[in-house]
Amino acid sequence: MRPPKQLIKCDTDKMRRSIPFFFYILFLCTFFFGLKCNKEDVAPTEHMARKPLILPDYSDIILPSNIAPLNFRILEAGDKYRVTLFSLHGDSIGITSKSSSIRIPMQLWKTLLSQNSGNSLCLRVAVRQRGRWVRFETIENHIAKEAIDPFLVYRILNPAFNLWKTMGIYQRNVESFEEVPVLRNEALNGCLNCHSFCRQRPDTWSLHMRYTEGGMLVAKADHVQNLDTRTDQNPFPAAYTAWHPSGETVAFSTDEVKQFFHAAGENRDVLDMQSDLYFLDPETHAISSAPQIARPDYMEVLPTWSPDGRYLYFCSAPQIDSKQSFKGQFRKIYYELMRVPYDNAAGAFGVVETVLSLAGEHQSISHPKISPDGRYLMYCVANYGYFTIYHPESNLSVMDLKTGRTALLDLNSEQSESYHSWSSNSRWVVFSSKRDDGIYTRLYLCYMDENGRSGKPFVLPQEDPCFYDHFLWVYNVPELTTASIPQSEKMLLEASKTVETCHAK
Amino acid sequence: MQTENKHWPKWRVIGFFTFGVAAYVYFVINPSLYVFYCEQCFFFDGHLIRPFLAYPGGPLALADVFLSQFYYLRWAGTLLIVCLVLNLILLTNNLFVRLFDTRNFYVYSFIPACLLLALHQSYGHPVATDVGLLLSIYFFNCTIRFHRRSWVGYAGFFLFLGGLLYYVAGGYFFLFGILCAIYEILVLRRWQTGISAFISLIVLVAFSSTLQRTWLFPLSLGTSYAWNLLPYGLLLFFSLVVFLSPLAKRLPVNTIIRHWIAGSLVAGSCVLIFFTQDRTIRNTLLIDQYAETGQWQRVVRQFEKYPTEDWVATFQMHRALYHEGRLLEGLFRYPQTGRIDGLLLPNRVAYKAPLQNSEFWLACGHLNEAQHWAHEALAIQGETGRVLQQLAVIYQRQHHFQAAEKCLCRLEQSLMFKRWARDQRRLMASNREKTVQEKGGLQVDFIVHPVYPENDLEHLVREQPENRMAFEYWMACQLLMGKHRDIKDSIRQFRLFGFSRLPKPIEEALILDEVMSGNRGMNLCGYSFDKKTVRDFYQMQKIVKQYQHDAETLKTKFRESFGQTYWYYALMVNPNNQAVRNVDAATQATHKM
Repeated sequence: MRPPKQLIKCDTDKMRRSIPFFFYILFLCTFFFGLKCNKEDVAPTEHMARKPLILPDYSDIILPSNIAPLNFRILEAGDKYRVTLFSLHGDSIGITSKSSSIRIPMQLWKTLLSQNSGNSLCLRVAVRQRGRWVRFETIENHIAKEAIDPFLVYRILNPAFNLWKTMGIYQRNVESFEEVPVLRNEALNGCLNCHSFCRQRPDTWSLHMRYTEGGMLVAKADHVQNLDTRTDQNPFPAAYTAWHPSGETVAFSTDEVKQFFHAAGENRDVLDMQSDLYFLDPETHAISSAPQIARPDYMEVLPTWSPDGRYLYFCSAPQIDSKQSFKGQFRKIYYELMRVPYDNAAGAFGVVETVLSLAGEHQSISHPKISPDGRYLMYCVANYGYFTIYHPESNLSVMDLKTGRTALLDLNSEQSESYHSWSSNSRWVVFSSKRDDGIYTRLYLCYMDENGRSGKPFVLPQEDPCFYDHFLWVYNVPELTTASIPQSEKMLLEASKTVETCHAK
Repeated sequence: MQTENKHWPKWRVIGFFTFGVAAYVYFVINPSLYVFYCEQCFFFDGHLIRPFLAYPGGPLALADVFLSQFYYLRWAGTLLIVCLVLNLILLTNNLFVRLFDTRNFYVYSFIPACLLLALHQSYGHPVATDVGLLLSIYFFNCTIRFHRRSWVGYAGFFLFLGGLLYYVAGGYFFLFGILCAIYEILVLRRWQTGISAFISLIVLVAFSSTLQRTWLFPLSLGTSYAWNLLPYGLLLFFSLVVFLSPLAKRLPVNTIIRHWIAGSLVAGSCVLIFFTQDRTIRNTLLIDQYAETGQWQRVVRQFEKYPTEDWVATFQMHRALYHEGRLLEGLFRYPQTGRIDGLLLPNRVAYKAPLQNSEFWLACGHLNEAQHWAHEALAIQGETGRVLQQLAVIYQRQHHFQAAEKCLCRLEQSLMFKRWARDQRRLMASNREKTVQEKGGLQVDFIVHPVYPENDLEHLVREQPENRMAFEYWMACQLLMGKHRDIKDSIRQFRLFGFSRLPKPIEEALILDEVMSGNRGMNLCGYSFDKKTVRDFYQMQKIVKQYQHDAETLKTKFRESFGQTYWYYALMVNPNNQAVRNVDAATQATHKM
């Protein structure tokens, strides 16, 4: 694709409007740089028969039309850089910089993307090396017609071992670079755990807090309550939650979690000594269970509802012998994907059935998430257990719920791919991955087409192109939401002070 | 006229005092030890700097991080403290001149300087509190200059300075406000402005949403001072000076008496410095510093000079013994009161010294555990230079080069670590291929149990038979736990590591075991017991027989003659020893001989 003739410098809008000012600038430039500048600009251009190396790797990707500018760093040696972004319609964006860090102007980027949904977005890079401009092959990306949900909620913390000091749940506007804290642990002096939304809606959601007065923070519209979900039946606090699409029931697992360390390979690991599923009615604070689900001879975890609310999916593995668990038995915990029909009106569950088992292949299934259109179920596959962020071999797969066919996704890497979340239109997923360095988890966005195939994933863009070069924190539990969370941090903190008890149904 | 003539001796006295302060700070306090107590590293990164500017008191907290990096260098840290002390002297002197209209009170300005020095003897003392104090006094001095203006103008000026100070230094606005209020009411008798100042304080307390950060930051009692009220004393000093200034001006005090009072107060302040010294912490930090810089001989010397029961210091001393090549030989020359706690850091202590633990495991070749503790250090201490250095080295050894790059990239943003990071990056680039060919840590997995680190050593010895450090530490553990069987089974390995003779404590353990179990003629793999050790054992036997009915005397005699032997440890120090349950058993054993 050729760039349109009209090329606008990103910062020359005002100059074009003001002719005297333009001449003044021209005079200054001539005065300070003389003919040297001109000489360089007309210097012969060489063509490099390869694409330029850029970091983060934003080449050959499919990007949403509402994403924030994909700022990047050019990994080619040079003393000056020229980048041109263009598409089929609208003005191109030209950026000339002495720094290899390229920051794309927000407004021009938004205009270009909005005018070219469904078209290609080309990126042409030229680098001045020893007075000669070297032009690389054009990077061609594709702008998807479907937008991504504008907000992303995640947790940021240090690489987790035994101790933690600072952590928080943050909300990022993916259309800009704005990141605001939802709740930080500084005021709580406790640990913040998984958050969960009802159908990507930010007005109905929950998160867990682990400290003396900690519980499940349940937010519905303007009402926030801190519920202690422990009863005589379930002595452990809630861990993984899933909201029924109606918002009337919250399925959650209670896990007796043990963290341990390995001497070789990835050093952290987590296993459940026991776990069960329970159900919370956020209105009445009643907690119930179903005998066919909370079986004592099985460990049930990671619940998720089908978008129509008629099925509850979860993972289940035979109960382990706690005495033998650290003597190698933990490597034989293979979770299977189960489901159980649910009648929301009656609040009754049917018979549990196995949806998918890879135990015969010595593989474990975890983190099932169904696309909002109900077509695909995405899940993690690892060698054992369910704490896939500590499993470099963990990969993401999808199951077509219509046909029952499964496929390993192209988006996987040699490092761990773990927690994932769908956008409300089922075309985008965000997932956590350690592909960058094997230690620090980053969030990747990826396009999913109607046939369940994934595009090339790309890391969540940041304003500073070098941001990930020295960011020593990890992201986890990314959840896409259709709007920003309405509750303020102050409101959540206030609600966390009063614990309300729950009762067994 | 008389006061004018005294200008030159005043500067001379201040000069001498400052010189004394510099010498004291450099040689006694040693600012480079601050880093080992509470390390802060400043990174030139807008992403990190911006949050500091978003709340009142943030700029001061930022200044704290920036100035604290001077402590990495002993001379720079000294310079910083001397500058702070000198500024305090000059500002206090200026305050006295303005309050009392005389230059004769300059000697009193050494009192807050001495208090400041006493505070700096606590290695956790934040430099921000000094800067905040200086700013408050400076701003107060400025307001005094305007006291002849109308009260409306004064109030405007006060609000401007107060607002600025509140933003920059947070809680120090309170000191400034109180000083202004007292000055206005008691000295100038201007009730309107004085009360306005008080009201502004109340308003601030009532409406400040970030009260915790703005007020408690400078007066935190979390920092362990020798005297916890000392920081308040410094603030109280200035309030008292302003409070008493109207009285002091009216008192016709004799010059000699005045000098005596001044001399006594300054001398008292100097005595205070002496009494607020925390030699224990200093000793521990010094040992830590020597250990980190690999000055093992000095670690041992320092430990011998000031023996301590601090686990971390004992742990470092053992590391020094190993690096000096005498861990097993010299193990019982030092009191081993904590069994293996002190040889290896117990879990509860390791969380207080995660970086030191990480360094130990790295040297031991247990990369995953080294990474584990370096990450714990990152969580507890934050992104500090030493933590990032450690992580960068570990990541490289584990072949996580991209992660190492991240640490180096961050360190390159620091003034103090820039050069190290660049050198390391070059080294990493040149050695990368070579490093990849090496094994990145252990190849055979086992479950690590931080509560029982000795188990890891056993695994390490099994998986890496050439790992001398793991072997020596494991043997030391077996001695301290009295597991003679494992020692007997490992005699062959001493040969592999080139020991010309068995270390003395090992011989002592084997002889004791031989006697107690009655199994004579164990296989020593070509080694033989040293004759002196055997003679010593007979000597010990005599003492045990002689005083077997008098436990106290037995212990005393035992300590006098064999206080530095395994026998003393096994029979007297560690009665829960698995091999030797109690003295009676030992006595019976010696009877068998």
